[in-house]
Amino acid sequence: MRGPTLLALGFAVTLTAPLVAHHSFAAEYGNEPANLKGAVTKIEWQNPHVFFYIDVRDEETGKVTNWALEMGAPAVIQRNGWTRTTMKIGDIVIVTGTKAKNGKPLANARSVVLASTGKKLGAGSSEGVTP
Amino acid sequence: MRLGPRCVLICFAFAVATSAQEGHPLVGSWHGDWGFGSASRQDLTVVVDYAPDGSHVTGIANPGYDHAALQNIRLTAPKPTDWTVKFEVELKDKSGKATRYVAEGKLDKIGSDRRTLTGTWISGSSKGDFKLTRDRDYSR
Repeated sequence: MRGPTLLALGFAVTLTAPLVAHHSFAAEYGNEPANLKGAVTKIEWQNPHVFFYIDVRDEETGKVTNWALEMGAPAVIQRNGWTRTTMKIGDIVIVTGTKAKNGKPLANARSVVLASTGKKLGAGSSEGVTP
Repeated sequence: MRLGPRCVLICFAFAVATSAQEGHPLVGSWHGDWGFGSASRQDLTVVVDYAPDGSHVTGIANPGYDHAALQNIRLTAPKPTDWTVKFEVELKDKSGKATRYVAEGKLDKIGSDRRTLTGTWISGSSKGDFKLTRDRDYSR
């Protein structure tokens, strides 16, 4: 029995990291809408969810806040028309979605519009999907 | 059944190795500010990535409409604890006039994904300082 137990433990260890990052929409995001515009500073094209980051400048104070924006799984957003080169560092994007409950600059992206072309892309959000 | 412990060790080794994989110490997105002392500060974003052929790193400051390419990026490490970064950049002011800055900084907390780059810049007769911290990934 020792062998199979250790084997199971090994699989558990390797699966721990991705499972920590996989969560339901309701667990992390509330009801406050997010309407953001800014330049892309980083893109993490990875499972279980794609993240991208934008610098949003406060027009009054000039202060820049870096927002983390979560989309769906890579396979899901690819079905919505995304490729790895759809969005690049420095692109100006307009994002609508829902802010995180914890008050951090984190939001779930529902749609992303590329300011240069006006092209609207779904973000494969899990919003509205039963957790 | 003797394969069990070995399997666990192999799985664990891969799990640790992937989370520790960081690559070039400058690659990533950095946020901070620059200016003259504490009175006059401006936000600064720097993004560094590998060139398409992977032979060197490239970077931009303030991605977006007012972005500027980092030039002559040089990373030297005469000692394992002493990492020095030099780069140049031409930033535009509100009137659109480009000004060249030469920056030199020191990398600290090199083993952390939240490593810092602090240093000074020179532009003509003007001098100032900057501080950048590498962004942590929300997804990790």
